[in-house]
Amino acid sequence: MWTDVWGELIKLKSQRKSYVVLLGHLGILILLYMSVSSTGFTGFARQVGRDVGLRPEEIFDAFYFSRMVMGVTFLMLLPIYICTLAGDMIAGEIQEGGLKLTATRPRSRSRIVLSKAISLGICSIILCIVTSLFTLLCSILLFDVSETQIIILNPNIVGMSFCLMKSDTALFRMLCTCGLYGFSIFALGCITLFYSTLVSRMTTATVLGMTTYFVSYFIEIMPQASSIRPYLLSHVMGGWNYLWLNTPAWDRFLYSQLHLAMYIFVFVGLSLTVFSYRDIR
Amino acid sequence: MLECCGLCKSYGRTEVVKDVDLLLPEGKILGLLGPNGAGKSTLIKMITGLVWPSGGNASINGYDVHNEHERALQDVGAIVEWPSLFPYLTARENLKLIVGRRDKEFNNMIEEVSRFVDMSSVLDKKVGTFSTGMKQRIGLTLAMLPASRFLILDEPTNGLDPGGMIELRQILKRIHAERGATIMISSHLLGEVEQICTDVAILHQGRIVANKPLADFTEQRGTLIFQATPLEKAKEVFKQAAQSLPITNMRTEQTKGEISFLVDADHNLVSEVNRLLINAGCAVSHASFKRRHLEDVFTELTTDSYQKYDSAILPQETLHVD
Repeated sequence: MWTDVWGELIKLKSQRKSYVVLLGHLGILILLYMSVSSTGFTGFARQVGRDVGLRPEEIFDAFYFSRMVMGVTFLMLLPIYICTLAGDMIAGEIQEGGLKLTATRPRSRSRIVLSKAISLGICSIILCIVTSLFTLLCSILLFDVSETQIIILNPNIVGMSFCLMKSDTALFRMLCTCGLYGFSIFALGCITLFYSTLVSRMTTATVLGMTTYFVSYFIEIMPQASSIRPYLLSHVMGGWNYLWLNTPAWDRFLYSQLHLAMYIFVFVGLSLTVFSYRDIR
Repeated sequence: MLECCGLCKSYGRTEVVKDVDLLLPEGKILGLLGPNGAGKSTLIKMITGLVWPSGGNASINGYDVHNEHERALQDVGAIVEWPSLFPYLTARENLKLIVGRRDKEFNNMIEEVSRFVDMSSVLDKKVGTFSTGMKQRIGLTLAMLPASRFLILDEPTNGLDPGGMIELRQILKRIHAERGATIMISSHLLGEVEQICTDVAILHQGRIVANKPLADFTEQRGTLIFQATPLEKAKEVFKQAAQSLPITNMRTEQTKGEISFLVDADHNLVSEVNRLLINAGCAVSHASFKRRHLEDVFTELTTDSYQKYDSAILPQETLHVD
C-alpha cells in the first residue's frame, strides 16, 4: 500500500500542473503586492483601524498581507487544483489508459483507491504548508511585523467580522490554520475522487467537484439554508475561523473537524464501493 | 492456466460477449482472432479483471479473476489495448510504479528483463520521448515483470512498422522458448498469429466460433477438388454428401474445358467423397486436396453465412453447376 502511495506522490511531483499551482500562487502574491503598493492600504483595514483606534500602518503588516494572499490561494486556487488532481486520479487515468496497467496487476481495487486518497491527503497538507511558509517568508521580507494583528473573520461562521490579537499568537494560529486547511481541501478532494470513480472523463469529474464547492458557498449565504448551513462543505471547511477567536471555540472547532472527517470517510467509502464494482473500459 | 466458462458481457441490451468457453493450457501461445467489434478486447478485459462479466466466470491457475483478483493475477502480465505509460515519468519509474515494487531485487529484475527486450539503455529516459515501438517494448517489459508466467497482450503490434512487428514477434518467440511463458495475443493480423501462435481461437460477434491448434486450421481443413462425370450424377452425389458430411461452400470451376467440383472440407474426407462418387457410378478423373491458409478459414468463419463450419451444412440452393 505505502509503495503505491509513494508512487502516487512521485506522479504528482512529476506532473507539470503541480508547479503551475505554485506559479499561480506566486502570481497572486505579486499581483496583491502590486495592488497594495499602488493603492496604499485596503479600505477595509483603514475602516477597521478607525473603529479600533489603530493607524493603517499598524494594521497592514507582513502577517496581514500573508493572510490576504493565503485567503485567495486557499479559497480559490487550491480547491481548483485539488479538484483537478482528484479528477485526474481515476477518471483521467481511465481516459488516458494508465489505470488499465495498474488494475491488471495483482492489487485490489480498494488498494488503488486508498493509495490515491492517502496521497491526495498528503499532497493537500504539504501544499498548504509549503504555500503558507513561502508566503510568510516573502511577506516578512516585504513588510514589517506589527505587534497587534487584526484578524478578518467569516461572520457567517463565527458571527463576527474581525478580532485583535498579539503577533506571536497570530503566527501560531496561522500555521495551525494552514495545516488544517490542508485537511479541509482533502475533504473536497475526496468528494471529487468519488466523482472521478463515477465518470470516465477527467473534466467531468473536476467540474463536478468545483461545482459542489462553489455551489456550497452560494447555498451558505442563502437565508433559507440556515437549517443545513452547519453541514455544508463550505461551512465545515471554514471551521478554522473558530481557531482565530481570542478564546478559541474548541467545541465548535472540533465539531466542524468531525464533519470534515465524516465527509472524508463517506466519500472515500463511496469511492471504494463504486470503483470496486465499475468496469474499466 | 486459463479457463473461461460461459463468459458473457452485455452493455444495456447489446450483448458484446456471448457464452464464451475457453481453455488455455500452460506453455501454449493462443491467438485470439476476430474482426473489429468481435468482442476481443472486452473478453481480454474480463479475463484481466478490468470488466465485470454479466455471466459466467474466468479463472487463472484455479483462482477466480474477479473474486480472487490478487491471487489470480499473481503470475499474469497484461497489456490491454495499448501500454498507456505515464509520459512524464522515466521507463524505470513507470515499471516500479505500475508493478508496485521498489526493492533492490525488483531493480535487478528490471535490468534483466529490459536487457532481454533490448531496452536497458533507455530505462532512465522519460517515456514521453519514446517512439511507438519503444513504448510497446517497455509494455512488454512491464508484462514480463516481476516474473510473469502468463502474458496477455491485446493487439501488441498496433502502431508498429513492419520492422517493429518482426522484432516484437521475435521477442515473443524468445519469451515463449526461453522462459516457458504462456501467451495470449489478440489480433486481427492473421499473418502475425500464424507465425507466433500454437493455438487459435476465433471470436465472431461475441462468440468463439473455433478454438483449436493452429495446425488443425491450416493443415486439416482445405478445399477438395474433384473432376467427375457424368456431371448431373456427380452433382447429386455432392448434394447428398452435404447432408451427412461436414462439407461446405460447394461450387464449380471450369478450367481448360474441364469442370471441377470444389468443396471446403477436412483432408480426411477425400477418400470418403471419392468412394461416394464411385459407388454412384461416376468416373473420377481427378481428386485432390488444397491446403488453406488461416486467412481462408478466418474469412469463412467470420462471414455470417458460415459461422460454424464444424456443423454447418451448405443450403442446397447454393449448389450450382455452370
